[in-house]
Amino acid sequence: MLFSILIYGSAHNSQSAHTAYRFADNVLNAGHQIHRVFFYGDSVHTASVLSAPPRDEQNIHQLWKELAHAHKLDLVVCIAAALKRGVMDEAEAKRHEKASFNSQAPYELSGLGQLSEAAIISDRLVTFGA
Amino acid sequence: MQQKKILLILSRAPYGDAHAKEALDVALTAAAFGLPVSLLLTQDAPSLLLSSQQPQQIQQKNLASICSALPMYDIENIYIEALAAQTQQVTLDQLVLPAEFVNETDVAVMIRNHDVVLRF
Repeated sequence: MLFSILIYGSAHNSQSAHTAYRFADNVLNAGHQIHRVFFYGDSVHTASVLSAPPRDEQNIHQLWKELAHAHKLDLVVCIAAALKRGVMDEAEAKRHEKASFNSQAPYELSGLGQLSEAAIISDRLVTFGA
Repeated sequence: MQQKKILLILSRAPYGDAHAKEALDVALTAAAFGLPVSLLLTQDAPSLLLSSQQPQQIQQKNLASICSALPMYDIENIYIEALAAQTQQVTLDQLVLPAEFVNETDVAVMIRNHDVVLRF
């Protein structure tokens, strides 16, 4: 079955980010595919490379990054939600004349159209942290 | 491509957090993709449609004016849970656009009849 995952909850203030990760990991281990993971609302902070949680706590940013590399996942971060929260890649930082950027591959900034497309393509769109 | 029906269920008050605005953004984008979109307002959400709201007083964008544009995007299935409306004393003649009251049984049917259900 083809899944897509929509996450709202912030990485470190909501259990939903980690629940979504565990769900994705299990879906893949069970032999299903994931078309896209879409980060919306406060979950866009997951894409920040500057997140530095204590060593004995979960690093949600890193977990998704490793899962994405292992399974060639499409991690899409809502660009409008990200920009207003100060999450941006190098290209957006240039466009908005910011001195630095904090997001890079495999996290990709894109529009809400990617969520609609995921809803159309996937057998199931599962949301976390509404 | 198979056409999927999307139902957005809003349950929060419009200006306490970003959920209502982000739900409307999803509604407009999905409609632009040609997907049939329905909106259901429950719990604290019915006040989103009140024409009397004045969010400019707290320097917020008026979400009701975004809502009044929904029919232009062919989003005309707007439902309000009757009990929530009653609790908040929201009546249909106070709204910026036509909506319909539904009860709990209608909501259950509505969820079954849509392919994608997103909660905000």
